[in-house]
Amino acid sequence: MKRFIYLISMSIVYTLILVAFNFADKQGIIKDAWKTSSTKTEMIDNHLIANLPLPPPPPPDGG
Amino acid sequence: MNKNHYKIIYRLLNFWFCYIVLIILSSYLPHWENVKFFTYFNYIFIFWILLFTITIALKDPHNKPIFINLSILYFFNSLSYFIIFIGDDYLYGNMQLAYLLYQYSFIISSFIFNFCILFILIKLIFSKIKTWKQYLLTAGILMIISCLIHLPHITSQINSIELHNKLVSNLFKNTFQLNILSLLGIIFYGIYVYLENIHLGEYINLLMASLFISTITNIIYNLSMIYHFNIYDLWLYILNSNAIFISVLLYKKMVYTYSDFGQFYESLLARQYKTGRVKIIPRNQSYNNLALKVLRIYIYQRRYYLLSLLILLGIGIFFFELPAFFTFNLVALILGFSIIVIFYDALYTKRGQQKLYL
Repeated sequence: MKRFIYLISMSIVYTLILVAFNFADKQGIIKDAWKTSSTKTEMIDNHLIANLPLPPPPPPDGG
Repeated sequence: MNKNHYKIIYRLLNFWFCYIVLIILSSYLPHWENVKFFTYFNYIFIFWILLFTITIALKDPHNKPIFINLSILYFFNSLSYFIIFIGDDYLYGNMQLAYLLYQYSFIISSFIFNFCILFILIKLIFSKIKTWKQYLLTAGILMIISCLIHLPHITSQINSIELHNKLVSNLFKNTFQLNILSLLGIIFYGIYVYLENIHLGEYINLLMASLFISTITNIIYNLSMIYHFNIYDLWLYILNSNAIFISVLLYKKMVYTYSDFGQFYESLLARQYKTGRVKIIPRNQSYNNLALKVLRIYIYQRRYYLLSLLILLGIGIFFFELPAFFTFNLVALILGFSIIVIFYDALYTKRGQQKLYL
């Protein structure tokens, strides 16, 4: 019986964490908190920026 | 160490050197130029750990399934260097096949990692049921949860270069949610061991401690990929230090498993003390108590010094605007190590007070 209480309490805690995370993620709470506390060095993701595909060249003016 | 041990270690070293030669040969292939030194180091250590886990799994009378699971995990991880040769197109969803390979290998490796941890918890809680039932229970729980988490994202594929952020962050969001399960599993393992005064055998608590640190670093890595604050190199430093720790631990476990005492003690545990009225005296308990006492007294006597160091570290991080990934990892590692020390201290103090010989 005690074993099942452990498992059930673990699943309840897990469900609560998942619900809280998904709620915070959908509402953008984590992202907002992240943006307000971010500094100049944090937002730079060198790897991604360096490897981003280049945008297509702009069309020539006037043909 | 007797002659037998040397024979085993020489055999393992032969396999290891073959793997290193294979890696050196593959460094001549295209795409290898992006691989950093510490990634190379990491692959080598993962293979070394794989060899240890297989060797332990062959001989351990009590915890064979745990080490079989771990060897599957490390086998899969040591294969992950094939990912290098598909380039980095998978990061942007540019190449459908590369992305699919990356996605499924990532999902499977995270599944096996969580399976290993959850299996140890199930084995501890339901120690009296048969091994295949423990496997079935673990696989059932994990399959249901991972299907609920992964399926909606796998079935809705997005084929667009612009949406690569969404693709990658969805993948990492899912694995983050699964890793939370294994973190909770380890915490509940600790609580169960502490309250019920049982254990699974020598070195399993330490193994769980190192898996705890791996889970924390995995969670931070997932968060960094979701919210884009990744600095890849630092993660490798932590992974490598943890890999060195696990390899030392597994080496000790291997020597213990192949010794006569280890065989005797573990087979007693496997039979759940059914060989008459044999009193089992814990190995290294007084040593563990002493080491923890020394650590506790050291921390207590140097409390002002350590506290001021931590405050200085905090001010330094704030003042020099250190990267968030570094800060997160540092805080989590300090917290993780403190939790492990507090747990061990409480466990051994309790065992010492109650004279529990388990």
